[in-house]
Amino acid sequence: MNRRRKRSGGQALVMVTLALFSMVGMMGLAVDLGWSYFVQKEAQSAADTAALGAAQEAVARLGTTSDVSGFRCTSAGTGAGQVDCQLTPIACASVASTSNLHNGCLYAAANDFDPSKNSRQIVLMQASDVTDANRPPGVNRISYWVRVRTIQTIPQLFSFLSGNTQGTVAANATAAIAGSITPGSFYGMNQKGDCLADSAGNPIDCGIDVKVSGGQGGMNCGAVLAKLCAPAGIILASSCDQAGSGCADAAGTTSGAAAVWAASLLQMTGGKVTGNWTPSTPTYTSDASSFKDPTAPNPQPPLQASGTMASCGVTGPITGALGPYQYYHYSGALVGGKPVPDGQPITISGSATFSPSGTCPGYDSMTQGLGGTKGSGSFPAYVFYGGVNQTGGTMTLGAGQYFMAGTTGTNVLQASVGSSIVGDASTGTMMIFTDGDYTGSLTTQRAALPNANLMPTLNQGTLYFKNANIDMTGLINSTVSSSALPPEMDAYTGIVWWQDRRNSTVEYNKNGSSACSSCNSDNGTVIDAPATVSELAENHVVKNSPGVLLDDGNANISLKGVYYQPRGAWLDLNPGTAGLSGQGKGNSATQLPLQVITGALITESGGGDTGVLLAGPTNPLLTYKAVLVQ
Amino acid sequence: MKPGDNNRRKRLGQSLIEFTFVGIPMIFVLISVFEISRGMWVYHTLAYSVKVGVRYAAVHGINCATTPDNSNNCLVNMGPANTAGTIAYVMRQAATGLDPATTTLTFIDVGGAQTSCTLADGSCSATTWPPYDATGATSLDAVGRLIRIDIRTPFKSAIAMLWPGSSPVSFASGTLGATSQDYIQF
Repeated sequence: MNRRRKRSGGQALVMVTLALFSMVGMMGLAVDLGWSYFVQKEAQSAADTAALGAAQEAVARLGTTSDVSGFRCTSAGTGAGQVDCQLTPIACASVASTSNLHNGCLYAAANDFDPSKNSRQIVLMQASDVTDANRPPGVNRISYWVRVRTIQTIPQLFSFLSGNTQGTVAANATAAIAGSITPGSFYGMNQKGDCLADSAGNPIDCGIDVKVSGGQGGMNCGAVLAKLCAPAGIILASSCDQAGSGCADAAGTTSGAAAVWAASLLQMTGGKVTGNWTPSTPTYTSDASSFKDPTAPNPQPPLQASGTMASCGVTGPITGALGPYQYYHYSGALVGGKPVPDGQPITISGSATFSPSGTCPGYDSMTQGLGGTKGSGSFPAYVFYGGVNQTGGTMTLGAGQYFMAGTTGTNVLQASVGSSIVGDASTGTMMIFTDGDYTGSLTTQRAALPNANLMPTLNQGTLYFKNANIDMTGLINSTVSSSALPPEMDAYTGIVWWQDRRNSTVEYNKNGSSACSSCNSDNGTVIDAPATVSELAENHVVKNSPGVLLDDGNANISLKGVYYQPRGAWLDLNPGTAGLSGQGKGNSATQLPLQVITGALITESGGGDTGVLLAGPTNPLLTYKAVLVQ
Repeated sequence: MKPGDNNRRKRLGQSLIEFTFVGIPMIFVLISVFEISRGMWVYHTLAYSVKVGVRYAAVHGINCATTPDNSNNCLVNMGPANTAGTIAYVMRQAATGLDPATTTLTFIDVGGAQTSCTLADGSCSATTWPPYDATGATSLDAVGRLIRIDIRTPFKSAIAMLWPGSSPVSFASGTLGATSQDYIQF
């Protein structure tokens, strides 16, 4: 009896044992595999945050020197202000505590990946620049990258029985300081309370971003006609809805037949557009970061010169092959045997070609024993104190920066009937409209001019084109093979025209200001809106100088890239037939591959079909920031 | 008759009854554990696969285009699943043990447009995703835009036949699914 009971009990045991094997096998799949996936998710989060953390720290360390976009491992190090490159992966235990990669290790530890506490975990860091073969595949437009591998071995609970005592999970993440495309065709950055100024300097059109009127006969915007044509979208920063203080009208208005067409319309919550708008209802957001200056946090484009630039004094019109100098005008009278810069514009009447092989057709500081070095390299700077007055002929601009450095009159660049300006197309040309003290670097360079202290104060000026032809291409990113742009200028990819941020009715942050007590860093943020009287004086803003009045008549203005004006500035188009549109005018006007960033766009009523006719940007603004790329 | 024979017979019947009382629930528990484990396994695999796929798409967004003028070319296609480097390929690599032919993917962009295909060779089309427009007009592919992928696979389970009201012999089939979404990072 006892034997039998035992035997039947034995049957159940066999059954349960057999069942257990399959059950445990299956539970191994569910529990152990599930746990592995969970740990893998943790590993991925740790790797992602660690890579981003290390790259973000690199941005912070490079930020003060403005070469976030041009970092190369030749300047690598683990010091406090340096960025670490590790071409072969190293464990966190070997990372110097002063390295930016250490930040990544701290992020991994904060996400439960700390090899010093858990011996089953490994965190490996690898970092280099764009020239390294191990860079994330396909992503060339980067300056620095960090790859993090997180690995963890997991003891198996159920799968243990089938012979797997250990499982391994791993995750990879690569973050880089990479160029991110800035979306949009047109930015109206003026906010509620930001005003334009009339010719007497009195505030007008407060809180307006777009105000268009007049005909639009030839402005073919795809299948429709539009005074402002923006296939990549419009961003309006003003919250004006026709009412309240700081608002003259709705943020966007049209009158008469004038129309605005955009693929998308993003506006600050509370704002409004009236008239002929497509789309008629904006998408609203109150997220201020959507409406900040898209060139932030970049400082203003740095002057490309090493040491003191040579200067070239001229008395009359100049032509021929001209080199990278600081040009100034002087009359015949000398003081102390040296010319006296009089702040008058440099006149160009015939054919003039600018390149490093050019020379100085006048008083050359190098041959006159005053020193200085003529600009060289693939992207030198040309400075014109008093601006340029082109009365005819063709100005051929080699790759480089052209500073229209202030005026004693109204215009820093004037081109009239029969004039042509042609820029470089492979590396690009950048024109900067400013005063004689651009970011302080021109103040320093200017001091090297003969009798510099006798030169009159040069104020901010505007532009004037009448029946002139302009064909310019913005900066081409150094990662494009045909381009010879210095990598540190990559953050300004696309920029073709840049108006000094100081030439504005609002006060941008900047370095070394006596009028602005809270200014400490040139980072594209706005400190005071409106700017105080002393700030405007320090910036040499006069009356309506922040406004660009494009009185272009029958001009052909073909700009490819990014047109930049700061918030608190504006673009005012007089009646004509071109405005900002491609080669061809009137009924044959073409869409221009340009991004327009400005405070406000105004087109005046009257005859002609002037407007802003844009195509999708082909060379858009890039913002270099830390992002996950792999 | 020996007295013991009667007892033995009684005990035989007893063990049959015991088996009925214990064995049937035990088989039920056994199948349940087995099938729930299998379901969890499939679900974990789906969730992992879709997470990997969305992450892959999110880090290969707008800035990986070849135009506008830049030198990045890491833009990714939706499929097909047998071509290395596509989203469907990456997902299939992560989806060990799933039947490619019946596992369907649904790609959903920020505009709500949906595209469906399976993990089978050649099913997902070789089109860029998120949809890329060189003019930027559609704004579907921009940093910060939300992208989402759904994955679904049929799950035939023996456990379903034990559900009250189900047909007693056929293995009823359900669908397991997982969804992941992320913002375009780059």
